[in-house]
Amino acid sequence: MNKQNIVAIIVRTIFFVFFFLYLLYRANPAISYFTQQPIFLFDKVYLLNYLNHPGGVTEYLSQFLSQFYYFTWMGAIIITIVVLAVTYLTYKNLKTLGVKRYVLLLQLLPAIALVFLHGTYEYKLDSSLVLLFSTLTFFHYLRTTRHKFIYRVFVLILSSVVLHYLSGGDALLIYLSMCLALELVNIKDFKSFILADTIIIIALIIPYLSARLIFYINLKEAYLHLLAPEENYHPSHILYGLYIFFPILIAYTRFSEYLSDITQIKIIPRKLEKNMTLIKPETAIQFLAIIILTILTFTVPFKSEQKLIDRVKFMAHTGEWESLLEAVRDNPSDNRLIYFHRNRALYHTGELAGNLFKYPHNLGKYGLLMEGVLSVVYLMDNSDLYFDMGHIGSAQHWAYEAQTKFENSPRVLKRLALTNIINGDFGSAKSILNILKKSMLHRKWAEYYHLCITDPLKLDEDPIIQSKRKIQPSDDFFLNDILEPYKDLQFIVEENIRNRMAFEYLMAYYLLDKDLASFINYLPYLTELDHKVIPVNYQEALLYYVSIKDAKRIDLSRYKLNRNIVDRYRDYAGIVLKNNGDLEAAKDELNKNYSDTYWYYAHYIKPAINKEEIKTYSKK
Amino acid sequence: MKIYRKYIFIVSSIIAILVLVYIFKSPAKPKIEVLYTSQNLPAILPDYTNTVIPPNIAPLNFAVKENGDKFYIKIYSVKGDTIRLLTKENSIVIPIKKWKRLLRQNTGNELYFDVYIEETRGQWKRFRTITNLIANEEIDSYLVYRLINPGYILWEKMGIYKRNIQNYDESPVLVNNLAEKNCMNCHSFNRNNPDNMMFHIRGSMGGTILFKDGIIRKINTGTRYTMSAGVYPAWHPSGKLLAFSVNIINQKFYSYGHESIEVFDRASDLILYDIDANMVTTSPKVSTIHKETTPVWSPDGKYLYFTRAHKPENKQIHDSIKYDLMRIGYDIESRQWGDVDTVLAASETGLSITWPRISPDGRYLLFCMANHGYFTIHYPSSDLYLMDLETGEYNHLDINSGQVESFHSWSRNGRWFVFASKRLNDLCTRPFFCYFDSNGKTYKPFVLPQKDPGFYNTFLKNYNVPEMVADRINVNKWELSKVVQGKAINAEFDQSVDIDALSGATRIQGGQHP
Repeated sequence: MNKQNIVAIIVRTIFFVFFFLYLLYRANPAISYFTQQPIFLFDKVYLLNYLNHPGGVTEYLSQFLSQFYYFTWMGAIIITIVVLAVTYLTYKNLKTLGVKRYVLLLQLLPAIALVFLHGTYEYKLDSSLVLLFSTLTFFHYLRTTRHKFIYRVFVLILSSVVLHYLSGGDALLIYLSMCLALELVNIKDFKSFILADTIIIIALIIPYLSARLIFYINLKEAYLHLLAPEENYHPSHILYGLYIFFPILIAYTRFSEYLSDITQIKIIPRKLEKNMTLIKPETAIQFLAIIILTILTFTVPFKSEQKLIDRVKFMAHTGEWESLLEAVRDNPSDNRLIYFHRNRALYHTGELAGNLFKYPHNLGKYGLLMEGVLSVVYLMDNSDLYFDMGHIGSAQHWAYEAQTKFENSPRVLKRLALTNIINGDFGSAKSILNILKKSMLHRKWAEYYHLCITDPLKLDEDPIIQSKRKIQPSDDFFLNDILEPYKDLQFIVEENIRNRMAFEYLMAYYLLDKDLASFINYLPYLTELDHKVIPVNYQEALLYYVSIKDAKRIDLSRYKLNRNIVDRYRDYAGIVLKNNGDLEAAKDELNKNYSDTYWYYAHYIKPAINKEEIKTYSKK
Repeated sequence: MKIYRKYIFIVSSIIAILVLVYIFKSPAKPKIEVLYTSQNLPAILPDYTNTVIPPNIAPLNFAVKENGDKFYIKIYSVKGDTIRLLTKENSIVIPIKKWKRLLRQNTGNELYFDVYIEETRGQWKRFRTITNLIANEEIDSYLVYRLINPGYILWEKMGIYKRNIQNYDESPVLVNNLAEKNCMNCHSFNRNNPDNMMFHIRGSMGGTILFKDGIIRKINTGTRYTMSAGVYPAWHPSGKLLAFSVNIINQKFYSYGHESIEVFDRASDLILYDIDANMVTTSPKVSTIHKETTPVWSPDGKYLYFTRAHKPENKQIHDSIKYDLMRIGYDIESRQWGDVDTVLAASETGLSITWPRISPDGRYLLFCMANHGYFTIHYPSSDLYLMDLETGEYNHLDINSGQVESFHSWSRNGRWFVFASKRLNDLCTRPFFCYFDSNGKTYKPFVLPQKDPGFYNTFLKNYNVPEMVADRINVNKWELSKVVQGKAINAEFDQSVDIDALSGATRIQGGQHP
């Protein structure tokens, strides 16, 4: 083994150790698991759903592997192995093609791109497997170059048909574009032209025939498979770049030998030259490129808002409310979903009633409840909120809609199983639990709840079921959870004031909507809850209401206003008066000490939802 | 050559092994010493006991829900060979060829299932024999349905499928990824004829797909004078006309309880679509201020049956609206409408009537009744009823369960009907077949058999609008998808209709006067 090989092995090892650690400690495949919700069922119907279209076999394998993302360490191992395999095959292909220059960099470039892609939580393992299988097929095709023409054509057709079925149109596209690049750069005779033409014809015909005659797929699915964006799937540009990279790489192998020889240029200062081995500029360039690109790919995905949203959703799902608030504080964003989950976190940390205005509310009430077009986009987020609240009808409604979109999502199925058990619809619950029982990851969970259904004592002991049943509305009413969800909160509060979350959400809604009349109407319900004092924000709103409405008397029952808050409001009003009632003039001064009050929110924050966002979803 | 020899050896070895496996797999009469005979029937799922089955049905595979180490099943009748199955699994999968032979030889005879289970080694328990009857009359060989998730507003994957009832072959008529993922619904056939089919596509590719005598068309049945395009269809037996309801459909969701959703019409009327003339027509008699919907033709084509609810009082709650069963005469030759009669009033039954379907001989009318409304697929109170059109008497069928029984359709010979029921899991509709004898008696229904007996336990899709057809649908999916993706032909509105006389919602809700 020569020195260069040893260096390459060391670099590759270091790279993949870093890659693994990056996945383990930073990217966290468990968040990818949560975002993608893969499930693998030992079930014939489930299998047939994958066998009935090109690329289904790879998707099936991907589902099997990605379910283990649930365990961060297993996810990290799986991804590392797949990327390692792609790298190895790229290396073998480069060796077979006789490439001797920049081999280390070239073999690691796909891995670097895959680092980036696996760092984004939406990226599915399917695409990496597609890459793996197409490079593997190409590796075998490369071995036919010395065989007879007819044999090569036969291998080409057979491998294309098999690859198209197993991995889909995108795999075929990568494979055949590599084959085409290989044939074009090695054109020797007429047969080479024929082979190149054959490749093009195969690329056009196989997907077409599969869509036309065999499978129930459209042409886009037949030709592009996972490359085509869909409603809930948007492949990254990096993925397109990665797919294009491979045919370009093949073309490069032919021309690499003509590239200018820059090995003669010495980059080491003369003084050092004597004391150390000469570092070839090629090696230095490769090292440098690998390091820079790796650092970039390790860090860039974490700066995206989508990444923050996915992390916030994950933390909300796992109930890491403090961490969620910290993440939101560290990464300010006006994204509606982030507001939505932050407000959930405020409730769960006991801050919704008292410290609501310590956090920005640029979206006002729109950050509290999803309504209109957005409610049918953020289905499980909505379901989560209402489930927390014991509003099981709505939690179930949105979960069923989510099941339509994400048929076998374990998160959705578990929610439906629970809501049906809470509602006493055991037949429906059983059907859903039966599905989960076929998944090795969720079997135990499903068996436990199956036991609950059959054993009333067990059911009575289950804390989730019982806590929700206690606060669940028992009166039937028509849901308003699409257009006016706050009306449902009114129903729930009026029926069962012990539902603290519904009450606090309703009050927060009125405060954020600056609807103090409704706020005051519902304030007496406070006595039914266990609040020892009136929450700070409520007191602030109350003072403000009294001052603007000149209300003489409001019954506070056993409660008293806090002296400090009254004084603070007096000071606030004093500043406004000092500026002759000119709110604009008083803004800077008030912002320093009172930006965390309802008064400041009422005067200065004019919530608006992002019109672009609405426009985007309206189109959907 | 050496290599070839190696391959030949491997292949022939595999074939030999497979042959041996096949020979030894078929159980000979095992020695079974029955220590105990139970007087009970064995628990089996799906419930294929005491029912009447068609002679051309696929094997009724089932799972034995009794604890045992081994299961031995004998299936036999008066004539022919006994089918013997010995298995360690509780799933009983019956060989299709032997099953078909047995049924063919025994039409009109009883079919017996003897179930034995080995409780401990060598100790077998035998259950009381399960008895089913093989009817003389065949069932239509295909069932067409839409498969759809239990969600209410959204959809993702959706398709209309055809299933060969004589085996387990299921294939799509059309799936919505060939139609930009749009919704498709309301498939309908003219007297079980697979060559006369229609269904709707909604959304960006909206239109009614009409497949008649080998020609596929896409029609936009919406006009300036109708409140919507055609919704619930009914083929005139002549194949020349289609009756449709036009509806403004709304839905609301319940917060609690066993009814999850209320689907109701703000307004609805009836229209007729003349296929050859590409013309929509209506009459003030079926486009009234009240709500007319769910049309169906009598088999002789002389009457259009439909349901009608009175215009709701101000702010009347949607869950108290009840529909009457009506009919109106129609002469296809002169295109003249007759008078509207009330066939059965909700005030008489106390329930709301919907989905009338008349037997092919014209004698019986099968329909649903529920506490309210017409979209009964979501109402657990919905049951099937049968009316003798000769006497006007109707009765509640004893085939109903405590769960939803809804959409139903007749076989071509009128001896079978299929209906959608949620009785298996309270959540998803499954197609159940019921034998209907010449005296108007119904027998215990059975669910569409599946190859995997546990199939329904985990299948979370609804079998929507089950319709039986006589044969496979001879439409090329590619051609069909091309028409679906193409532009719809706009139907004309019949100029002879007195627009001003349309007192109904059609005029109120629909387009402006010219």
